[in-house]
Amino acid sequence: MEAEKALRATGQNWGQVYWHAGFAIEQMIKAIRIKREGFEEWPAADRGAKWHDLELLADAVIKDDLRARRRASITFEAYWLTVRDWSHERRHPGDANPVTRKDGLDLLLAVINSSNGVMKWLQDLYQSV
Amino acid sequence: MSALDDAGLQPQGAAWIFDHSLGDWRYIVATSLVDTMGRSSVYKELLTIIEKLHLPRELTVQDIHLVAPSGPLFKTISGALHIENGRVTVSDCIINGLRVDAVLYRWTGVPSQTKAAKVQKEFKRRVKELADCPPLRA
Repeated sequence: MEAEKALRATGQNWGQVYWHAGFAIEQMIKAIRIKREGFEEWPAADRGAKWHDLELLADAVIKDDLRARRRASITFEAYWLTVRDWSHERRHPGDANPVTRKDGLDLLLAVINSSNGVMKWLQDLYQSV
Repeated sequence: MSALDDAGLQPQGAAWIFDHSLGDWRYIVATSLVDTMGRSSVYKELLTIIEKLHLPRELTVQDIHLVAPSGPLFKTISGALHIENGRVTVSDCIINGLRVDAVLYRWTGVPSQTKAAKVQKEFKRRVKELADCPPLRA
């Protein structure tokens, strides 16, 4: 229900919804590292495709936190795996792999769900640093 | 493979594929369930039944990366290869313009809507059945 409401607000542009939902997660994980390590900004040396891959990024920044959270809830873990599979390359109109309504809704729910969504957990983690 | 079939997943593709942009191997499972049920739902069901499957102990659901057979990766490779079962190693190949390093265990065609609906029905039935079974591993 909450994902549908959020989607209606976006005008149901699935590609944009998909990309922005995943990008928000990427930026949140990076913000956690910046805060933890006292950086002023994301290190210039850590750029490139690897740092847009949420699995590798999470492994580098929040591995232990994520392991503990995943063990606590199957629903969260399923949402995390959905978020993990986000591809930053799926954003252009006319893409070879266009984002469907199901893709967009699935990812959005995994990100914004109020009980087990990935964003809420990351926000709590950020606040705890 | 047999464990994934036993779970009712009946994947259209299963392979270790090297992602050149990341420098990392990924275990890819292509299943029409991604399109019909949604990624989260499939992962959730797999997590629920993982202990009931004859999977190697070191393999977890987190090691599995689901893709849809409607996506470009599956279609690109299936345009050149059709593998029902077994093992095919592809090394430093260009397949339909895509650079591929992979070990493929199954790679069949994009299923019809009817077939995809059958796969979903069987998966849901099997998940329900397995839910009542004791775990095979702790």
